[in-house]
Amino acid sequence: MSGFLSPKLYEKLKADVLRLTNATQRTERGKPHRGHTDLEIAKRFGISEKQAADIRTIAELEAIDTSRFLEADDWKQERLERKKVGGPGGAAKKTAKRPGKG
Amino acid sequence: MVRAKPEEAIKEQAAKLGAWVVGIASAEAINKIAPKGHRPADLMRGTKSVVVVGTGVTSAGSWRAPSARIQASIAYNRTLNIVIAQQLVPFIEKNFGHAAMLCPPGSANGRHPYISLKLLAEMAGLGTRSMAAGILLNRQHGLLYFGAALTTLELKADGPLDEPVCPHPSCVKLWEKKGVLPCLDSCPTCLDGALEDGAIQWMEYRQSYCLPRAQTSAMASFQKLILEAMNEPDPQKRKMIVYGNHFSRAVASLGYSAELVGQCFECMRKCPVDMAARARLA
Repeated sequence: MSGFLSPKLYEKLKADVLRLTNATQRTERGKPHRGHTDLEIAKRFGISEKQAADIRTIAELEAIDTSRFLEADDWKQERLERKKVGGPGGAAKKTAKRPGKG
Repeated sequence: MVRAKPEEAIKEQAAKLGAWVVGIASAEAINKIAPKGHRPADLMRGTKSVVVVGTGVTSAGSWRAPSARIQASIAYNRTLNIVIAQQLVPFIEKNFGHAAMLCPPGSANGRHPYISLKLLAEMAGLGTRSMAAGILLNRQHGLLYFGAALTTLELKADGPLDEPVCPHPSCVKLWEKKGVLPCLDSCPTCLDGALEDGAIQWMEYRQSYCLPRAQTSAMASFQKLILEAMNEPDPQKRKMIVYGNHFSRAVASLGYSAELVGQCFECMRKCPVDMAARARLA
């Protein structure tokens, strides 16, 4: 069907496009994060802005497992009922020295 | 015509209309950070200033809800900011003879906004980005929602804050002692990061975990479930999906604009900045 993104183009570029978007935002001191715009993505891969927007939108949604939506209410309620910061199920202890990716 | 200075008159009017906070950002300063296509003049030609208003939606009472679902069901109520900003538009045009326009709320394409309200609020001095997903924290009011009006009127900008609101001194102590933070601890899949020398050293936010919690029954949920249903060959199982509670909630959310966004508060629940703001409310 014309007017829709080609699945072939999507499969070819989805991983690269997803890396450039705001789907994961990493800010370091002195290095603020800014995801690429659709225009910037389009120029980078030689595609149209509309195609870039389609690839980004589809890839961002595909990256989320449906089960995360279905389990979200229980997850939030469990967090709400937690009493103590640093208790079971929370983040592991870290140090500021930890370098590299999170 | 009002006799006060435009900045004072606009801020006074915003407060009368219900704004908890109001600040002014310079379009020129925003242009240095915002990418092409997402700058004030991309929305209204000749924009010189942006008036940003903020209100808190989550009252002290709503934080006392014993159910996350209840709190989530009343969180999507950003109407107030849009109404305030929309009313500032004719106020500016009639009193100061300059063009003004409501900054379009919502998304332009996918999850990209027309312009980042967070950036506008930051540049108007209404808060700074926090460890919690970069959510803008206001020193006095904690978590706020924002709306904005663009204008060709040149106004004296408030500019960004000099000192970051996050981390709170108690978080710095907790980090030094235990190596954890309330926000990171609440949501270790959505968030990651570290402090160093009493400041944020790095922070990472992952949309693929945050979105299904913050928008549990919103558009993306609807899209995921309808595709599941279409791909399900068994008609009985298909019925379980489409007639089931989660899909029904998603349809209701789309129909009534309720429970669309702002459905998760867990990274803010134990944030000392926001807790102090709640304590000041009631």
